[in-house]
Amino acid sequence: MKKLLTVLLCLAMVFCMAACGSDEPEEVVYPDGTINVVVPFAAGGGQHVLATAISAAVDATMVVTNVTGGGGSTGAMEVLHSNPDGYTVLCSTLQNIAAGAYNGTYQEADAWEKFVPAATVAGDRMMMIASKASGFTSLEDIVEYSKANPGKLTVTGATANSYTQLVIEKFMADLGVEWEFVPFDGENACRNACMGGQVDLCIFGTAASSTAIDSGDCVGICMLSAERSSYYPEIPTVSEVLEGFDAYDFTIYRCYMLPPETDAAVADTLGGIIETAMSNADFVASCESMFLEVGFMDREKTTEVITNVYNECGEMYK
Amino acid sequence: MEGLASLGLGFSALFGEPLLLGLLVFGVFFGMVMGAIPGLTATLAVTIALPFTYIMSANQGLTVLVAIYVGGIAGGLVAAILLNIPGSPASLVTCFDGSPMARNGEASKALTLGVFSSLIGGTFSAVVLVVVAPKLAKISLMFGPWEYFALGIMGLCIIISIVGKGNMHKGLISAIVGMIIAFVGYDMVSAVPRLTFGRWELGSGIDTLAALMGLFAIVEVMQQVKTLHLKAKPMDPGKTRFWPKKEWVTGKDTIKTFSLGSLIGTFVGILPGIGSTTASMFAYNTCRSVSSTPEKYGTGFEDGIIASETANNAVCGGALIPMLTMGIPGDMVTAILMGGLIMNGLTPGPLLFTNEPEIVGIVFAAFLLANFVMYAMEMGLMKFFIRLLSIPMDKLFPAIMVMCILGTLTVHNRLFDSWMLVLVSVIGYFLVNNKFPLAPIVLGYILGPIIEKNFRTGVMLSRGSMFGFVESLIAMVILILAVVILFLPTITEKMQAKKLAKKA
Repeated sequence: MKKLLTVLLCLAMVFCMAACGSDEPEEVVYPDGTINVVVPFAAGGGQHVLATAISAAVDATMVVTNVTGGGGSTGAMEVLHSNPDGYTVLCSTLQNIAAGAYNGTYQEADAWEKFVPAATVAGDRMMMIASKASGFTSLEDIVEYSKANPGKLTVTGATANSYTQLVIEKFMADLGVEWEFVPFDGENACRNACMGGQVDLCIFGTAASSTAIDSGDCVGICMLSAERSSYYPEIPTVSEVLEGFDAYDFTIYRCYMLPPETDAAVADTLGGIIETAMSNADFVASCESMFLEVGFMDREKTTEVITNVYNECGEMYK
Repeated sequence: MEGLASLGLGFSALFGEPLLLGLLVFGVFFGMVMGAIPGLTATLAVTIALPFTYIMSANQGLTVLVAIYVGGIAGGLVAAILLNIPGSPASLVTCFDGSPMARNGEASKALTLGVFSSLIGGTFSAVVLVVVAPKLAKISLMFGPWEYFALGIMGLCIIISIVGKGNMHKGLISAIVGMIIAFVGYDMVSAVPRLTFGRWELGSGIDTLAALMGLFAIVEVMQQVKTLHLKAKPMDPGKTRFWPKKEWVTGKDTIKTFSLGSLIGTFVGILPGIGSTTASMFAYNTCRSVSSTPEKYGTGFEDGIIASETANNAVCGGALIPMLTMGIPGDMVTAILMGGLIMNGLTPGPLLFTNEPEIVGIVFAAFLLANFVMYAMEMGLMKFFIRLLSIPMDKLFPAIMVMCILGTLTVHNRLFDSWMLVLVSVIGYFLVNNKFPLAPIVLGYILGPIIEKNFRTGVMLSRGSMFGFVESLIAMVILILAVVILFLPTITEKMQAKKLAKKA
C-alpha cells in the first residue's frame, strides 16, 4: 500500500512539473534536434557521399537517409509532403527537380517552385566523352562524321526522359547533327556501355566521366560548361571549339531543399550552417574525390538558378 | 602479380593492428546475424554499419564492411535449411534442397555442407580476386545489352527445367505473374509509368526485398501456421560436424558441383546488376543439367545446397573485382562499399592499385580472412543459431513477420513497401494453395526486366534490328548454351533409356 502511494505521489509530481513546463513561453531554437536529410538516390552514390560529408562537417545533428526510386522523385515527393519544420530536408540536384516538372516523374508539376531552397553546395560540370573503340578524339571530327552519316553514331548519358537527355537533344539540335539516343539504367550503366564500346558517345557529369577517362577506355571530348573542369584542364569547353556555343553552361547543381512553406528564416539558418561546413577540409577532399566543383549559393541565388534551369527545360521540351 | 603483393601488404596491416582483426570478427558476426534473420539482409547490415565507418580510418572501415558483406551472405542458409525460409534472398535456392534434407532427418549434414560450400565459394572468388582481378575486370565491359539479353533468356530456360513436366502450364503462369510484379513502376527505356494506378509511391516499382520476402518468408510462415497445432516439436538437427565427412565432399559429381558453383558465382558477380540470387539459380540449374542424377535435385540432394551456397558466396569476390579496378560496383553492397572508399577520399579505379596498394590489400586480406572467420564462427555458433530458430513456432513466426516488415521498411525508409510485402504475400499464398510453384515467380521477377530492358536497348543500338544478337559472339555462345542446358537432361534421359533397353 505504501509503495503504491509513493508511486502515485511521484506520478502526480511528474505531471505537475510537466504542466509547469508548458506554461513557459516557447522559444524557437533551430536546429534543436536531428535533421533528416533525404537523398533520393542510392546509398554509396555521389549524392549520398556528398550529403554524408556535409552531415559530418555541420554544427548540427544531420542523419542521411536514402529514399530511392522514380528517378529521384520518390524521395523528393516525400520531402514535399513532409512537415515544413526544417527537420526534413531534401538533398538532390536542381536539374532533377526542375526537369521533373516536364518529364512526368514528379506527380506535381509545380513541385520545383514549391520547395524552399536552403543552399547549393557543389556543381558537377557536364562533359562529353567518346569510347576509345569509336576512334574519335575531337569534337570537330565527330561533327564532321555525324553530318556525313546522320543517325549513325549512338549517344547515351542517363535514363530516358531525364535532364541529361534534354541536354543531349539540345546539343544535337544546336550542332545540327543526328545521333541515336540510347537510354541506360543510370549513370553507371551508361558509362559501362561507353567504356565497353557498345555506345559511341556519352554526355554526363565529370564525376561519372572520370572513371571512363582514367581507365583509358574513353576519351574526353569537350566540356558542356562555361568553364573548363579544374580536374581535367586539358579538355576544352565547347565554346572554345565551335562558334555559337557561348551560352552553354550545363552544370548539375547539388542542392538542399526544404518542404513548401518552410519559414525563410529557417531556410537561411540551415543555409548558413551548411555554408560554414563547406570549408571543412574533409568535405573538400570528398568533393575532390568526386570531381565536384565546390561553390555555395544561398536561398535567393538557388531560386534564381532553378528558375533558369526550369525555363531552359521548358525551351528544350519544345 | 601486383595483386599478391597487395595481399601481402594487406595481411601485414591486418595483423599489425589488433583492432582490425577485432573489427573483422565483429563484422562477420554482425553480418551473419543479420543474414540469418529473415527479412534483414547483407545490404541492410552494410547500410547500418556505414555511418560508423565515417569515424574510422579507411583500413578499419573497409575491413568491417567487407567482413559484414561476407557474413551477411553466408548467414542466410541456416533458416533456409531449418525453416524453409531464406534468411536473405541470396539463400533462396538453398531452400530447394536444404529444407527437404532437414525434413529427411539430415539437417546437420545439410548445415555443415552449406557452410562448407560457402567457404569454398568465397575462398575461390577471393583467389580469383587477388590473382586476376585487373584482367578479369574488363569482362564486365564486354557485356552489352545483347549479352545481358542472352543471359536473361538462358535464365528463363531454368524455369522450364525447374517446374518439370507435370506442372508446366502452372509454372509458366507463375513466371508471368513474376514478370507482371516486376513491370510495376517507370519503365527504364521510355520512362512510362506502368501499372502504378496513378500512385506515385509505385513509381519505383515493387522492391526486390518486398517481393522475395513476401513470396518466400511470409507465404511459408502462413503455410506452416496451418499445421502449427499438429507439430509442436521444434526441429532438432542434432550435433553438427565442424568439418564435413570426407565422403560427403569428394564424390565426382560433388567436386564438379563445387567447381561449377564457384565459377558461375564469381562470373555472375563480375557482371553488374545480376546479383547473388540469380547466381545461385544459374549454378543450381547448370549443376543439375550436367549431373548424372538430375532427378535427385529438389528432393533433398546435397549437391543442390552445394551449388547454391558456393555460388552466392562466390558472387562477393566477383562483385569486388569491377568495383576495385574500375569503380563499377557489381551489386548493391559493393556500391555502398565504394561509397565507403570515396568517403575516405579514395577513388576506385585503375589507379587505386598503383596509388593505394595497401587499401586494395586490406580489401583482399579482409575478404579472404573473413571467409575463414565466417566458417569457424558459423560452425562454432551453429548451436546458438539453431537454438534461435527452435523457439516455439508460435513465437518465432510473428517475430519473423515483424522482421520482414522492418526489413522492407528500411529499403526506401517508408511504410509503403511493407504494404507491398503484404500484398505480394497474399498473391503468393493464393498461388501456392492453388498448386502454382513459387520459384518461377522469382525468375520471372528478376529476369523479366533484364530481358525487356536489354532487348529494347539492343534493338536501339542495332538501329531497329531485332536480331542484333547474332553479331555478338558472347551472346550467341550464351544462347547456344541455354539451348544445350534446356535439352541436355532430356537427351541424357533418352540415351540412358536406350542403354537400359539394350541391356535388357
